[in-house]
Amino acid sequence: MKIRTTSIILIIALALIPCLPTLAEDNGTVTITMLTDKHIEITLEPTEWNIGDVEPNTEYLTSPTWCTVTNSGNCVVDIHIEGEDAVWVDSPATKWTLSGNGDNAQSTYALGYHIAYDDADSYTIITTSDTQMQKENEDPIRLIDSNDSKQFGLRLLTPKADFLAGEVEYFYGGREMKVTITVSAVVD
Amino acid sequence: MMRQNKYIWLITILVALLLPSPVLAWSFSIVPPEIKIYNISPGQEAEFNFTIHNKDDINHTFILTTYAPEESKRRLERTEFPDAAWLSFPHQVEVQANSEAKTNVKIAIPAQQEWSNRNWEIWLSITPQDKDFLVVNYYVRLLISTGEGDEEIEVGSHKVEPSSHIVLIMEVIILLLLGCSIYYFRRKEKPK
Repeated sequence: MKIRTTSIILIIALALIPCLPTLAEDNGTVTITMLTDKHIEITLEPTEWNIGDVEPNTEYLTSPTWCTVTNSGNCVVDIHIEGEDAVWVDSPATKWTLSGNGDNAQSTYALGYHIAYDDADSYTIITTSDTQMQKENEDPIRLIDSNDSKQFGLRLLTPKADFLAGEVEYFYGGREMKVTITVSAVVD
Repeated sequence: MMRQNKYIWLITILVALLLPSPVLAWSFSIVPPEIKIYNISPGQEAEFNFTIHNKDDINHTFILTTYAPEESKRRLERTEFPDAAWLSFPHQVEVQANSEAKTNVKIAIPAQQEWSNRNWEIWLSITPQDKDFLVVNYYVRLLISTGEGDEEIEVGSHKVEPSSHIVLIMEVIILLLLGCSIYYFRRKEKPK
């Protein structure tokens, strides 16, 4: 009886040893693959829009071919765009909030882009969410080959006046506001 | 005349200024643009490097963050990566002028079995710290599978070692149990 019990325990133990790797469930080899002959790179020209002094509730436009985005890498890329709140350089806590619907308000400004030769002749709003750039009713912009490029222009609608004096609308004066627009590339 | 002057003064003083900032030249690239990780099981870790190439004549600092792309931006049948905290990497990398810097990224999947056989996607965002009005940002696609996937060009594999100590502990426990059982029955067999 005792020999039989001992034998059963021994058999179970011996049977379990080969199964240990399975029980542990984490002895596999992780495979990491990457295409090291591919690199992602785009160029923007120009990167500055020097608007100068602006007035309340006023629209400012660049030319529709103002900026060229070029694929300088060797892979197919999709182009995304994203804006952010404009900040007062001297006191970044003071902001103009970027509009989510293209409308301005007091301390809320709006941005838009227009891809060159877009028949729709309209501006697509730029929000604080990353969005794929595309012409109205067309597929998103994709730069397929190296040196493939697209042109676009921008629209900026300033906030409504901070206050009104007589017939004149105005902002609190002398503030340098910094606006940044991020243009992103991701491999298709 | 007095009224006109007042208006000119008000317009001049009360407009906001979008002044030009000094132009920041930067040109950089990332290798590779996409990384696939297969067969990483819950409880395992893996790591890889990607390269930031600063092509400018001045040093630049780059800010690294994660980005969770919505479904329309993800690859087919990929779901959102559950927790960006499972990735660890430097959040700021300085790259010397005309140089490149390798950046290490580690992935640790928690041990819960609920994370088995999943296909996730998350992006790493790399952007310069100094910004013009328009700034370039790159996303590196990370495709992470806790099951097996199709392989393309394998440039490296990583044997994960932490499991070996679990196997060893289990072996020791079984051998101890075996030894104790034999000792117990032998003692019982001895005549009093």
